[in-house]
Amino acid sequence: MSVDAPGAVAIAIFAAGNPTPDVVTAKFGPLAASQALSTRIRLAGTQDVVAVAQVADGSFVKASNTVKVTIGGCGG
Amino acid sequence: MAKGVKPRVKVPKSAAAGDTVTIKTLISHKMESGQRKDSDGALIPRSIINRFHVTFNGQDVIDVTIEPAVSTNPYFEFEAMVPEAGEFAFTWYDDDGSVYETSKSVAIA
Repeated sequence: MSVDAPGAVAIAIFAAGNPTPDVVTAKFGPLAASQALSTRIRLAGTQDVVAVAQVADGSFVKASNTVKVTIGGCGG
Repeated sequence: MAKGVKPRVKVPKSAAAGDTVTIKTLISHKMESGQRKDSDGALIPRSIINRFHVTFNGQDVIDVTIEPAVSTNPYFEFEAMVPEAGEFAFTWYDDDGSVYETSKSVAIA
């Protein structure tokens, strides 16, 4: 999962279909060159992954993407 | 302390002043989510790293709150600015109270 939100002060990621939807919350300090982060996450199944970014002026923006999860190696 | 926790960090050895560097971090940790059951059907208790914090010469770069949905061996990649020569300090906080630390210094080329 990677997220990029220029001008954000913080980003929260949620996996709507997980038993606990919170994934990560990142706060960017003065030395963060870009408001971007990549990591690896667990998903319980095919679902929407939602990113909410808090912009410096206090407003929030949201983006989401559907991720298809295939269980098992063959056929899917 | 969870066994076999080993932080690994990749930072360029040198950079120009004011340059942006990409930092990749990986720490070996089983990140037990608290959702799994053992063979007797009993829940395996949650045991994760819940916070990851990076500073450069004491100034914040990124502070990440981690939930159980982050994979085993948590990996993070992000960009930081290097205004001067100094040291990146990386700290991971475990649920059991352990703190794992590592640091990397950057020279100005």
